[in-house]
Amino acid sequence: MRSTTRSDEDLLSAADARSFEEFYLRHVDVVLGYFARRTGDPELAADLVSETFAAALAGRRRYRPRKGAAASWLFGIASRKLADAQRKGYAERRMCRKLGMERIDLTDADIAHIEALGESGALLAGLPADQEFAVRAHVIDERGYGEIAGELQTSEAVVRKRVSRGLATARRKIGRHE
Amino acid sequence: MSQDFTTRLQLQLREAALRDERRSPLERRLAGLRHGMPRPAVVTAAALAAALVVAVVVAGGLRWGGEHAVAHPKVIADFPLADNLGFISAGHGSVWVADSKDLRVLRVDPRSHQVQARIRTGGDTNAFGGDPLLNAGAGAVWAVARAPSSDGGHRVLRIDPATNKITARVTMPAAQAPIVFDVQIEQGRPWVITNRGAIALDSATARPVSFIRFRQPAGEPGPLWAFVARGELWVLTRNGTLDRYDLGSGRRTASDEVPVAGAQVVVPTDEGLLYGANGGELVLVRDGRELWRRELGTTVSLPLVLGGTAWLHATDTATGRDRLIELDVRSGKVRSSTGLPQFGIRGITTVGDDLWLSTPNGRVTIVRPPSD
Repeated sequence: MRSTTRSDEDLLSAADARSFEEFYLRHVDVVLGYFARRTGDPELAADLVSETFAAALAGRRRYRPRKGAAASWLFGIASRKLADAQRKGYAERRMCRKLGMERIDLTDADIAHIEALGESGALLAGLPADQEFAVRAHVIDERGYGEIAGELQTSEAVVRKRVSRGLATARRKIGRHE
Repeated sequence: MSQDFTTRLQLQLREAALRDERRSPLERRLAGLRHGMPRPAVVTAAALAAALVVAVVVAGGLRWGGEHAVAHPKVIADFPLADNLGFISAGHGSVWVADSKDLRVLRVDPRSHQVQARIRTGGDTNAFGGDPLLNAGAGAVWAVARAPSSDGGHRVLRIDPATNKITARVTMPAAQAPIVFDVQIEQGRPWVITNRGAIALDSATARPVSFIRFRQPAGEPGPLWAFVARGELWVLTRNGTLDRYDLGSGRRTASDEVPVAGAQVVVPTDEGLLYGANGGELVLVRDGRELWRRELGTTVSLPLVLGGTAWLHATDTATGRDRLIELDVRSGKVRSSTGLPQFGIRGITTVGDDLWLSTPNGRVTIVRPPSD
C-alpha cells in the first residue's frame, strides 16, 4: 500500500535511508511473490529477495529515471538474480555480504506467507502481460486508473478494460479450481 | 512476538542504508569504483555472455510497438521441458534444445511439443549460456560439452539425427580452443568458435580439418564477438576493428574501423552491418556511414535477423515484462512488440514461420508472427 504520493523514481533517486525503506515496502511482496512462484521454494525466494534489494540499495545511485520505471529496474535485477540462481542452483549472497546483512532464517509463518504470495501471483501469471500489469497496478498497488494510464501513455478507458478483462479471467481460473 | 521476514529484512536494509548515508561522498565514490570496475575475468565473462546469450536487450524509454501497429505476433504456446534450458536449434524435422541443468540435448517434436529423445552430452553446469552449446546442420546435430576451465579440454559431439546416437566425440586442441564460444554452421560445415579462432570440422567425423587464427595482441582474452557467415569469419576486436577472414584460405581480407563506440556485437544484413553497442543502442552502418541509430536501453546483444526483420528480446521497463520486439532493419522502426510470459531467454530459433524461445527457467515459448 502506498503511504505517500512520492513516485518510485523519487524514492529510489533520493539518497536517504527512509526513502529506500519506503521503496522496499512498496515492492517487497510483489518481488517475494515473483520469486516464490518461479522457484517454488520459500527459502530460496527469501534469499533472492534479500540479494535483490541489497543490490538495489547498493546500485541505486546508478539508477536513472530516464532509462525507465524504478519498478522495472528492480525487476531487471530480480530476473538476473533468478537466472543466476537457476544456473548455479543456489542464491548468491554477494551484495548482502558486502552490505553486512545476515541471512534471515524463516519461521513457519514466514514460509506460509511466502507460499501464499506465490499462489496469489500464480493467479495473474497466465494473463496477457498488459492485463497482468494493469491488475497488479490497480488492484494490488491501489493505483488510480489515471496514474496507470499516464505511465503507459494510454487512455484510462484502455486501462479500465484491461483490469476488467484480467479480473474476469482470474475469476474464471478461481472457478475452475473450486 | 517475533518479527516476520519482511520486517527483519527491512531493518537490515535500513541499517545498511544508514551506514551508507554516514559514509563520505569520497568513500562512496571509491566503493562504487570497486564495484563497477570489471576484472579481467569479468571482461571475458561479459564477452562470453554476449556470445552465448542470443538476444538480451534491456530496454528503456521506448514506446514498444507504437509505430504503425498492425497485426501483432502472438504467443501460441509456453510449456516446460526441463529445469533450465540453454541453446535451441531446429533441423532434421525436430527442435533440439540444450537442457543445461542435466547436460543433455532434448529432441522435441515441433507439432506435439513432446520430448522424443534425451541425449546425454556432459559439460559444465556453470558454463556461460548453459551447456551444451548446440547447433543443427551439416548432416548432424552438433553439441559442445565444455570443460570447467579456460585451458581447453572442450569436446565436440556429433549426434546422428537418424538414430539419436552420438557418433563422434572429439576433444578440441587446447592451443586452438582454450575457451569455446559457440558451434556454428556455414557452407555445410560445422565451425567451433573459440577465443583464439575458428576451427573447421569434418562433418562426418567431427575432427578438426583447419584453423583460422584471429589476429589479436598477446595476452588478450579473446575478441568481443566472432561468427561465421556469408563465407567469412567476422571478428569484432577489442581494438575497435571489424576483421574479416576468408573461410577457404584463412586469409584476412579486411580490417575496418568500427564506427560505433562501445560496439559489442555485429550482424551482417542485406541493408548493412547492424551493431549492438553498450548503452542499449542499435546502429545500422553501410559503407562506413551510419544510417540509423536507435536507443533501446542499457545493454544490448545480438538480434536474430531474418531478411529485412530483426527480432530482439527485450525487457520493457515500462511494465517490467519481457518482450519480443520486431524491428524493420531498413528503417530501424519497431513493427511490433509481444509480451512474453517468461523472464529471460537463452536461445531463439525459427521453426517454420514460428519463433521458438528457450528460457533459463526451463520453458519454451512459441511466438507466431502474423501471416502476410
